[in-house]
Amino acid sequence: MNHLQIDNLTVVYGAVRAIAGISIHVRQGETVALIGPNGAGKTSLLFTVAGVVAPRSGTIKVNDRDLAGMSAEARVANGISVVPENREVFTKLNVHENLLVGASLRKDRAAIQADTDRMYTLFPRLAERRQHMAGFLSGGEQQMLAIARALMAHPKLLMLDEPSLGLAPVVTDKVYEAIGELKKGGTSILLVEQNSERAFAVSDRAYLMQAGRLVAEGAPAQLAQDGIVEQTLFGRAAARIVGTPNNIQVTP
Amino acid sequence: MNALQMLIDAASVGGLYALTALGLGLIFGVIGLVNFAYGEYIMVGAYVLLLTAGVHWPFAILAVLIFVILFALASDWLVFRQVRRAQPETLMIVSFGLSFMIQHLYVVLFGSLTRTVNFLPEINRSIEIGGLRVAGVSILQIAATIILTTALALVINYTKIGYQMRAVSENPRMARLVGVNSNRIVAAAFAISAVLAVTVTVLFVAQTGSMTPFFGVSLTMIGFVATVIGGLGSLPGCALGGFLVGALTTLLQMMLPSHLQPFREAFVFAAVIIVLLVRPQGLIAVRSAWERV
Amino acid sequence: MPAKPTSTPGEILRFLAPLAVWILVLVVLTFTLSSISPAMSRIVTDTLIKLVMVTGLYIFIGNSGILSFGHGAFLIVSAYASAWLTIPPMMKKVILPGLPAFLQTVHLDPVLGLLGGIVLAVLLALVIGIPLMRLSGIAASIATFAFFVVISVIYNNWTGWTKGTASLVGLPVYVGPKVALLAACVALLVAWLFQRSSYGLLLRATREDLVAARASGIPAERLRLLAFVLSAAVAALGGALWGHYNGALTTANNVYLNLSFTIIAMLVVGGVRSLSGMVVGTLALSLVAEVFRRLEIGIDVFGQTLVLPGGSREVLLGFCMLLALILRPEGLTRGRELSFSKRKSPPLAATQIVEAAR
Repeated sequence: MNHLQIDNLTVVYGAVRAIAGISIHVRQGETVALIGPNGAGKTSLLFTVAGVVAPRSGTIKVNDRDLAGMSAEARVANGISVVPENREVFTKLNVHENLLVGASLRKDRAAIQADTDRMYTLFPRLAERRQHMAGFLSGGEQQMLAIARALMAHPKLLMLDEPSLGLAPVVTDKVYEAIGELKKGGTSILLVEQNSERAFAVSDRAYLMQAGRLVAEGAPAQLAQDGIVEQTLFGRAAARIVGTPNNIQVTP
Repeated sequence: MNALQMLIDAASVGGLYALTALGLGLIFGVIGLVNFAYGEYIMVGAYVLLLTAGVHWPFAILAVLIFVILFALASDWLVFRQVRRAQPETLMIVSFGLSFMIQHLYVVLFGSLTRTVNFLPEINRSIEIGGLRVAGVSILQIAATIILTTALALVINYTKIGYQMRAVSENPRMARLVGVNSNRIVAAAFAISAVLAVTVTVLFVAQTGSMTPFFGVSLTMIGFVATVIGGLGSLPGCALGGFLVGALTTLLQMMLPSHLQPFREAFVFAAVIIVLLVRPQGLIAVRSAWERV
Repeated sequence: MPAKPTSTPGEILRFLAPLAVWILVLVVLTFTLSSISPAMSRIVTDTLIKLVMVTGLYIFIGNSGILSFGHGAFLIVSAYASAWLTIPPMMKKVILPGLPAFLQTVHLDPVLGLLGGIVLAVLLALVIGIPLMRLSGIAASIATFAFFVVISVIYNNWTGWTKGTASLVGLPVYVGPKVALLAACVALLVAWLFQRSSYGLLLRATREDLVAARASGIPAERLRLLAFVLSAAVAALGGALWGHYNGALTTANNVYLNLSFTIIAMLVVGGVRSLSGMVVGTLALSLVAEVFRRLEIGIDVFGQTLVLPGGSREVLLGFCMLLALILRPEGLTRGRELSFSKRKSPPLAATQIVEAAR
């Protein structure tokens, strides 16, 4: 039984087809990378699983349970959390309140207290800033806060959307260190990245996505060797430069 | 002495306006809805007092409280939730339509003429404090404003429901993504705004003893004025705006020559336009309701 | 989409086609329905005058995207101005002794009275619009509402000039289905030409993205002011005709608030974003209102007389509007215009797709 099983998912916004019949899965405790250029539909995929975007067709199952019709907050209660691309911390709440909002579904005050303490140990920077408005944090701190906030809900399946985006390499190290910790703790992780090198280093498997479709799937090492990653990412870039559709083939 | 008397008048009238403005500002802050139907929460409560005339007053107030909270929740559930993701302008039109519909429903039920009820006439008796004659209802108005404003500030700033409200206010989608039940939080905001509306109803009816299906509108208009002057969405601003409008009304009442008295409201609304032009963001410029008090 | 009328006859025809179709529909409806009975003819007139008002409102709201609750003020101002200018001096001396000598003696032709009403509304729109058009969004809406309240409080209490909540009578009644039809066609033409002019297009750009439009050098305030003044003129036309259709004016029972509500509802139910939507909304709600009015008078159903209590018309009107907004937030026509080219006209702006994705 796969932890997350997506079959034939299609997502449409108005006249735009963001995802065109994708099937992917994440096994229990596995870390899976989802790589693709801008506009490939990665973010749409995460938001569909998280329940804030409704699919046109297809099924999403978590531990064999169909999520169709389940509200976003109920999905969180079922162990699915997402750390969105631009962090989306609550800028007008302080760091501590952001963590508490992350524990909205829980009632056990003592355990919540213990968890916030655990987050402050995991991310000492946040401890120093616990009374600061989240809007005043640096990008890296906001990323840590967004991850910590998601962890407050005790996710079994964590989806991260470009956690390294816009961060200095040193800060990215920190973030990936934390992802490594989570992986060790047995959390299943779906990791969306453009930074394939980083993502492959922690992943067990990877999918390549382009224009709403899967392009390739396999072990990270295998994909890295094939050169198909470059083709997916840079083929799109080359296409944009000459202004032609993105199905152009670039020989590596 | 005269100035002090005026100050008390301004504070008691302003208190009523501040409470109205807070109820409006709270809903605006949480879901960006300019709720014209808020006046109807105030109005339907008055008719509950009319229907429960003769009932011992604490029970009458309890009946109003229950009815108006349910009414506000129903308006959210049946109407506003259906258009939750619409543009602010659409939301405003929807609430305008709801308000219009409820008013005329009450015209059908109770007629459009003024109805009177003798509710708690005792509190209109004046008390002498150090040479000043102060109506009991004025004291109640000032006290209710202070207590409810403080309570609201505490709830927003220091409780679980408070920070969840602030989270929904800032980013409703992200709030849901971390497990906040936003429908419940919005419902809580409606319930709180209903409590504020009930306070206004009880104080207003006790003071004037009369009602029409349209009296909520005028109060809401003044509440809007107050929220706009104070800064749409800033709760301290709402309270401040309420008191300022109260002061302005009292001042106009004293200063305007008698033949201009009927135009008082025009002056107040002209003031709103001026404030909006000078400071479109209101006197207290905040983007969200939830800056710390 | 042509920004200005182009030269070849075919293109001009295509440019005017959606407008021409609506005008044809109105002409046919007016002549067939108003020949049925005098009562029907009154309903037709009433609907056409409301269409003029809605068109006025549409010129501003539809193009600028700013919701105005203030256009009721222009209805009031022009209706009373036209009344002052056209009521016979003999009557004015009796019913409006408070009027100044100049207005006491003046007695203009109805057309000039109409123009007088429009001119006053235009001046007012200029004066209030210059400062107000700097505002956007909710602040702008509330300011226009405050403006409406100011004007309506003044006219309500300025009894020497307006008789306030009492009735001001003696207006020459010259508005029937044909006059109303002519006015509606003029209004629609003005709206269509403005919408298709380069001014209209630029203003619509500010509606979609104000910051981007400003950054491209579009003078948003001035375009809004232009639309505001134009829309005030058209609304004022409707307001003045309204007085000369009823023969009397009053500010009692929130008539102008209710009238404002009705025309906003018509606009919103049909869809604020297109002329076709506005026409459809007006016709649809007029039909609904008429059905309810009949029900309030009482109709026979299987030998039983079914009568709705007074006021229920407004309740049901409000209900229809809510239902329409909940089921079709974009309006009945979803912002589309009638189209005669093979391509479907784009129903949604790109921003709305982004909105849907949020």
